[in-house]
Amino acid sequence: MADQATFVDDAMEYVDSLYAAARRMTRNEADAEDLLQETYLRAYRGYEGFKAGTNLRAWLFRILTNAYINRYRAKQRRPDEVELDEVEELYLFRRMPELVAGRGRSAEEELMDWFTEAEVRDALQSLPDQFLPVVILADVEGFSYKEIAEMLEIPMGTVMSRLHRGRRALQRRLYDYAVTHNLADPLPDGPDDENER
Amino acid sequence: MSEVNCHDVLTRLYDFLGSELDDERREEIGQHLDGCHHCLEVYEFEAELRKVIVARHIQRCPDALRARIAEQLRRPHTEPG
Repeated sequence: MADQATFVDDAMEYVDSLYAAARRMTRNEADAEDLLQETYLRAYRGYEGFKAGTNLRAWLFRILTNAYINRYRAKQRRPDEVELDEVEELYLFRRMPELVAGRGRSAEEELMDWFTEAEVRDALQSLPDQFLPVVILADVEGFSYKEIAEMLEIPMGTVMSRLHRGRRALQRRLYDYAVTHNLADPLPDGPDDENER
Repeated sequence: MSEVNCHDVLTRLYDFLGSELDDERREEIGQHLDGCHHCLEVYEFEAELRKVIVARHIQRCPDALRARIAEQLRRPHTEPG
């Protein structure tokens, strides 16, 4: 059993990453504040049931994500299974080969310059509600597919399918920004889902 | 000689990045990346893109909100919200 007295210090350690996740998921400041407060309050009340030594960060993210889903997106439950092969991977890379290949040794710095903070945040926030939490949990926070499946109480296959589609949608959005920066050519009109290869 | 081909590697690239693979598969893909310029380039791009996304996403919790939460939790017997 964990001690509520130590809760505040232990849990506040993760406030920045929880806040950033809340901002992306709710897409606005006021709702993010509410969601974060609700998360901490729920966590505090449930802290006696939290097993000391297990992953506090994962537990907090679990509470945050479920509070978000219950609070803002309860209506939107619907089946979303797809075959993994339906979704094309490496969307950006496939469309910007010259640019990618032409990068020098300071590649990371350069790539960082491709997209502004506002653009990356917008691209994340543009993700459908089903995909955004799993993308944040996996690709930003580094939780495993298994951990995410347990947090959201969904099968691992569903986690992977949502991640797949979420990553692709994220790169599709970033590509649009790359076009506005003249880093990439506009896509021809028409469905953007045609599979080359 | 590694038995995985480029298609296998690129299909599993995100799993590799996210440390979702067992040691054997990790090793196979690592060996392939050592010897395949194209796949290494894709890998480096995706790894860096992920770092950029994380760096741009990171956002500090405003001090006022941080203080409000801490205070709310330290104040006993109140039911905020």
